[in-house]
Amino acid sequence: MSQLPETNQEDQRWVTRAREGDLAAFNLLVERYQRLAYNIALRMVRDPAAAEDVTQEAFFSAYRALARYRGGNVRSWLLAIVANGARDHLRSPHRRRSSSLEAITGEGDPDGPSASGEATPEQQALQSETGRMVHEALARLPENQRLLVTLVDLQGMDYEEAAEIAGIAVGTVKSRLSRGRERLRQILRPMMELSGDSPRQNG
Amino acid sequence: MRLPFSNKTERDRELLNEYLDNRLSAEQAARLEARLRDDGPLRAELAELRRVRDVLRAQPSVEPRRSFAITPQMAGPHARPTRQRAESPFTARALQLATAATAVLLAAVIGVDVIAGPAPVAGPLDATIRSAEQGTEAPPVNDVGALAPSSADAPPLDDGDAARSKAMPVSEERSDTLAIEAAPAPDSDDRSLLRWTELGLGIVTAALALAVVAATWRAASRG
Repeated sequence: MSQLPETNQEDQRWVTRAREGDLAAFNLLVERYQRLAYNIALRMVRDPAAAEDVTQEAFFSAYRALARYRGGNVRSWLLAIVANGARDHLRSPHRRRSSSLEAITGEGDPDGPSASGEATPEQQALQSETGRMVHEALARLPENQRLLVTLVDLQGMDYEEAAEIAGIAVGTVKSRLSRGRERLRQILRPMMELSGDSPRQNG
Repeated sequence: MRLPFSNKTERDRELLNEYLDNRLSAEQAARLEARLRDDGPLRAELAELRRVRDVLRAQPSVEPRRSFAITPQMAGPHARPTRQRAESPFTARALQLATAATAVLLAAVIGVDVIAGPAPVAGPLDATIRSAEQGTEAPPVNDVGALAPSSADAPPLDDGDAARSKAMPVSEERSDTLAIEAAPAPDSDDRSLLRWTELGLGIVTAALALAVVAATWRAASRG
């Protein structure tokens, strides 16, 4: 999912207007990228409320840091702030520890969203057995591997943009992504074998 | 649990991942494909990695429950949300035109005021001016007395004063001054028309000036 050049040109026009004080122009950027930003934050911190906090704080930080924007890919710049915010949250001693799958699906919480009988978007995404297993498997990855798997495999970004967002070299992206996928392969193998479409060894 | 592909090197895994993501050159890809033809475990590992990647890519993205837009309250002193709009070319142009129109109208009011001369004072002063112009006698003392301050303390003119006043001609200097002021004054109908014109222009000018001030204040309070 590499970004179209014309989209980035429009993003840069909005940034220019926002730097001149046009809050509405900045909010056009928020509207365009909030879903992507929230999903990255959610996969990283694994708690919807915390992901909302991280996303909101990231956009606010970006707004305050507009003067320091030095050109380049606006989306990568914004998502790098989100990724840093998520990492800071994970390292914070005050963060909530309720990042279990139940906290997201609402299970075990009679007052939670599931009590109403209607599934929240988080629930819909994670309700399936596959979704639950993927979520659990991702949670077991080190955060630097989880970020790259999220960016490349869940969001479909290329290595270059993932490197820009993570603030690392492309070579590091290759090695971390390789290790992350290998670990996921081991974790998810039982599920894939159960599903019956796991490839058979023939050697 | 011993993994069937644990003997693969880190570089082999990276190559498989890059092959999966179409990151290898044609030459590198050809070499890897040649290995894959002869290496079953390597083929199986590639297939599993592809399956993992497909499962991950099939995960739906989640719609956030709320907007993360920055509100003016959140932005606080950092926000200058309407300055750009307040200084839009249309608004700036309209303000310039309105200011120029106000200046022109103000000049017109002053011009009309000059042409119309001093405000008309009913009664004996006009008669005095006309008399001065015509070299005739000043109006009667009683009439001049009507111009005197209306204070109750003002002493009434006695007959002597009246006689002096009646005999006293308007001085040359006073006569010239009055002549200068009175000479361009139009007749009564023209003067009345000019006064009404002046009044109308004054009202329009005041309204326009207020509008300019209000628009400027509004733009300043936004910015």
